[in-house]
Amino acid sequence: MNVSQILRPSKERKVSKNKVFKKPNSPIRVVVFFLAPALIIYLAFVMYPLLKVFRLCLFRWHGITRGTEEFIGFGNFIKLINDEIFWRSLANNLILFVFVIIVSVSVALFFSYILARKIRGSRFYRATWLFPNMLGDVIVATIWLFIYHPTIGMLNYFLKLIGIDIGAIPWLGQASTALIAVTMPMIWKFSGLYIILFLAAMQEIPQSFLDAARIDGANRWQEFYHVVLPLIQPTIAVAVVFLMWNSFSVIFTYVKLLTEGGPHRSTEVLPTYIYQVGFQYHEFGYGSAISVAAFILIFILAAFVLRMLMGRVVRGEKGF
Amino acid sequence: MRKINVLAIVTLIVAAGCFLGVQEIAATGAKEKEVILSVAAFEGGYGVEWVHETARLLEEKHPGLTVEVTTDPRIWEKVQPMFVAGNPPDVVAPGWLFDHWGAINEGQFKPLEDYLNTNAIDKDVPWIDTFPEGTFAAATNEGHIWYIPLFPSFYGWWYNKTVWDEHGWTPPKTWDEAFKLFDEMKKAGIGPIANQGIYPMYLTYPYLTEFIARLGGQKKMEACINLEPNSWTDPKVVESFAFLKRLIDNYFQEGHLGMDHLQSQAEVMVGKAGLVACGSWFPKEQEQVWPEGNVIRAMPLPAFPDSPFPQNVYNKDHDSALLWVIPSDTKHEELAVEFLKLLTSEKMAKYTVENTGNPTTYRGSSKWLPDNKFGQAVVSCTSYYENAEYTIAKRETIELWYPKLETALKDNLALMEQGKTTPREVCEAVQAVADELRKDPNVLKHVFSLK
Repeated sequence: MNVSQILRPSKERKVSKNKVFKKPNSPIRVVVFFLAPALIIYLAFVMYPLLKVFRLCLFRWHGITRGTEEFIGFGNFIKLINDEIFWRSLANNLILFVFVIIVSVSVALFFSYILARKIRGSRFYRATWLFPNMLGDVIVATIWLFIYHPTIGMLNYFLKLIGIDIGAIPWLGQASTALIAVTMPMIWKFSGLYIILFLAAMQEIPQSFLDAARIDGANRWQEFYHVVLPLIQPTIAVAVVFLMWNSFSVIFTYVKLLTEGGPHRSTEVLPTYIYQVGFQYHEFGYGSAISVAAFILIFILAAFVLRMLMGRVVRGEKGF
Repeated sequence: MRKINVLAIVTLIVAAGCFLGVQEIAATGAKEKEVILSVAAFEGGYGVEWVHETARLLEEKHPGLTVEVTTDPRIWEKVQPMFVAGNPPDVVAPGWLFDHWGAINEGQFKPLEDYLNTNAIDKDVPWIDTFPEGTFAAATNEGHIWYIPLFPSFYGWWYNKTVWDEHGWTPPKTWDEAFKLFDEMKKAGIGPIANQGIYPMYLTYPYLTEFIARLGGQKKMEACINLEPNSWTDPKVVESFAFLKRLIDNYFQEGHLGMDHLQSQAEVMVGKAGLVACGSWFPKEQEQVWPEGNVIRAMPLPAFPDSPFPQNVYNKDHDSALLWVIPSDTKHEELAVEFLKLLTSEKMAKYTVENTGNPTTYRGSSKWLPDNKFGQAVVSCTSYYENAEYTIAKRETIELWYPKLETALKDNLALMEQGKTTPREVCEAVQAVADELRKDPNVLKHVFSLK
């Protein structure tokens, strides 16, 4: 038998592979059997509408009567390029993304590092931090509506208490503060979960690594930056991916409840703008075009971030 | 063994098929006598008990009829795909975000004028005569009436009379009187005017529309609604925006920009602000924060005594969430009409007014407003409408007909509130959108005259 013969899969082997699939109790059959319902539902309720949106973006349509679609080619995309509100919403979306991710991860890292040092009452703090995560988004947004209340809100009251009396600041009502104000409830909600996640990762770090760092004269910051941070990088990467997904999926609720996209579009984001174009302006074709553009842009961005973060993790590289 | 397995599966499938088939036949047999009328409605501040009560009365009248009621705060999201599929409910109030006029333009609704000229359900008069005059003004296009409004909205300034009495304040009749009162309020540590700053559209009713009508007259207001060239940049309209800006800068409560409707309105209830502009849903909406024993009342906006135009003009429209239509694809047209006749009958009007604390579009329904704090508060608002020269239906016209104009108003007013644009610039921006809409062949145009 020569080498090529050895490398070529034998007929017998092929037959045996097919046989495995044809076997009545084959595990593959079982897998297919159990996956089929979910797959059918996914195809019908996710993939089909998604493909429909890709088609609809080439039409002008009010979304009420079938057969009234008017084919306009790339007309909706040309309109979109000149649509100032679209670009503003996209920019706001990205600012929110970046801000929520950076602040949530930083807050979570800071507190998880403190909690990892087994301070007094650390169990209580863990539970307290996790509490907002158990609340629904609508509840969280409503709580923050009251925190931001200009006259009786906790935030203005607290500022006054510490000597910063700058009057009844309408945090959600002025363009200069509204966008950041919208991110705070999300950060408050998300941070707790990531504190627990990072804490678990930090507790996995062998004590000997930290002891070695201390023997070498590392202070707390150096220990954190040069030992802890590189070792929990895979967890941080996963957290960033989760946060990206979380922020995008809940952003509509927070913006809708807190500011309705205002004042003057300063907190408008893509999901709220798409809803407005579709359900208020009744331009379903144009709404679809915005959705497709947003999908492509966010897909590219997500792929880039994922590749950057997860790629390093998969390759086993450490450090930032 | 394998053959037995196959046989078992085939037997199971056949048995299941037979079972389902028998069930289907049984169901079809049972349904032969049964008629189902599907009703869908927006569920909001007025509740939905009155829809269910109407359904119950109709079922009582027609044995074998089942009225299936679906209600939802976002009902448009449910009924819109049904319209697309050609299978809409038999009668529906599709909610304020449904494109009523787009649907009318595409022939999705039945015109109602022929039915409105038939007899009412409990009176020997044409159905249309049971509604106050002008009810269908905004619902009419090219001679056809397209929807039946149910709840009229009246507007004004709402105030806590108990707090005002403590300070010896009385409702001002003119703006000069108002400004003096506001200065007194400031001295007393009360923000004169609360405002729903998060939602700038509240500035358009009653403030802007009534300012334009009172300072510029009926024709100027009509021109704005009808998208006429240079209507929004007319000097009198700009003056109206400037007057609003003066109010915002000098008399709106500090921090108003960060308050939503509930928060700002509550400021008045608890005596931290003097008054707030709102519609007649205000008393019910404030139920949770109503201080024990306090009296809440409404007043019209003060007059401009130097203006040559009538000052007793007010914004009044119908709640755009509950405009009832009969889809063209209804399966039970006669029953759908009967449902609407029953819904707007004297009996149901009395039930609805008593249960919601708001008048309905049944002529004279205000007399059934309950003799309690809610009813009396609403009466204080509806009473000054009795002598109205004419009313402006801002929400039923601009908001429903031209949503982009509404958004332009909202966005630019928000900028003006924050001092980032001038009244003239706001007017120019709104005019630009009005011009764009007027020239757009895809936008259905309306010609409106105020009555």
